[in-house]
Amino acid sequence: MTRQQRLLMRMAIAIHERLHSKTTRDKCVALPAATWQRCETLNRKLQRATQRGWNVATNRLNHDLRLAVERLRLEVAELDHGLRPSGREDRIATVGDIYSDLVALHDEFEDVAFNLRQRTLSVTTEAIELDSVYLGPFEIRLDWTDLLEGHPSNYRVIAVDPKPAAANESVTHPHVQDEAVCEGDGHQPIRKALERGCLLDFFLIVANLLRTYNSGSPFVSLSDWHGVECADCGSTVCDDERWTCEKCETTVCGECYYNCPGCDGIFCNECTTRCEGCDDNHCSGCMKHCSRCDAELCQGCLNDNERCSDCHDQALEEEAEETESDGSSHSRDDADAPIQPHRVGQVAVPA
Amino acid sequence: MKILVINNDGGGFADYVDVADGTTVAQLFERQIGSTKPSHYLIRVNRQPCPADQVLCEGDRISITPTKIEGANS
Repeated sequence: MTRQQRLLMRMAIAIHERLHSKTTRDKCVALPAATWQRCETLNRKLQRATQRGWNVATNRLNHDLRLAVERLRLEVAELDHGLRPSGREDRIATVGDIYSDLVALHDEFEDVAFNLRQRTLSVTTEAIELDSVYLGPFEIRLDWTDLLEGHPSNYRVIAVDPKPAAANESVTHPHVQDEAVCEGDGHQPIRKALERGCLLDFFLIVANLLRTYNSGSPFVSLSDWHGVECADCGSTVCDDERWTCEKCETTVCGECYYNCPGCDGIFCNECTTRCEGCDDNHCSGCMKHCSRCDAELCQGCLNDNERCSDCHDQALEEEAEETESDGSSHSRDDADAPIQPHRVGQVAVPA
Repeated sequence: MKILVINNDGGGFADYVDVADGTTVAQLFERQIGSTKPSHYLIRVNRQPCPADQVLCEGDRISITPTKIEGANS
């Protein structure tokens, strides 16, 4: 046996011990002592009642003892079932299986590394490229301290040559964020492989998951991998600085978005209009036309008659002029009026 | 004869299966997976790549792993 083989064997034994100790711990079940105790008590009472000829009590205690024995029988059956070798344990990998997996990993992956003290085993994939986006190789590092219940936090996927999404540096793969894989369809087979101690299957499944792109559910889609352009200034926008126009749904950066003062909505430059009154950009829904000059203004810059301030002033001037001209015409009419006009309210009353 | 089949498609089940003597890898694949193309799967017999016409032996361990496994974002 070579040094490498001896190391792999020690590793296989250590992993198997971890798997086996867990299943042995699972088997420590409670005996039905309380139910047995109740049976003994009822039996003593029944003997006493029988000896003393208490027929009613004897019948009731006999009934209670039957129920207690029935319960004891069920608990013993349950205990028996729990102690039998389960299907799961039957399929838990042997030391030989784990050793064979460790050897086979070297055939499947170029780089395999393990650390007995830290209880880690890792493989490195080839450089992965999805839809012409280069993501680089990934190290899949498994902590085998608790294979049965550690999933999914017991393994990490580490980008060896990180090419993260421009919008989010923690996303190194469409389905990997902060070194954690969102397993999707792979969840169940990964969990099963770890429960059984099938290490080769585990690494193959995770590697195949990394080689697959699910466009329906990525952390960052590959089409946006190199960043999303601001529709207004053309700069690359990261997630924190990303705004979406509520009208045309284009992406704009924090420098280019407009917050409409009328409705508080977010809009791009294209979807807003500058109010001629206050010079603020408003969305089309919050803009109106002056009823006189047709100028575009926000609601705040139109008066109650839907007129801009210029038209309002102009209308007041015109009204004043009209009043003035009306006043002068009235004074001409008054020239012909009697010097002592009839008093207001005076009406000629027939005699 | 009895062989161990580990199907990493969907549920990821492992079962001992009885097959007739002379059963090939292709025949077992068709029986376990159906009409899907074998090229969409990594098929290993005793952890080694194998030809479709390889005849299975008693106690063989066959694993079938999809090459495309879709992750998600949450």
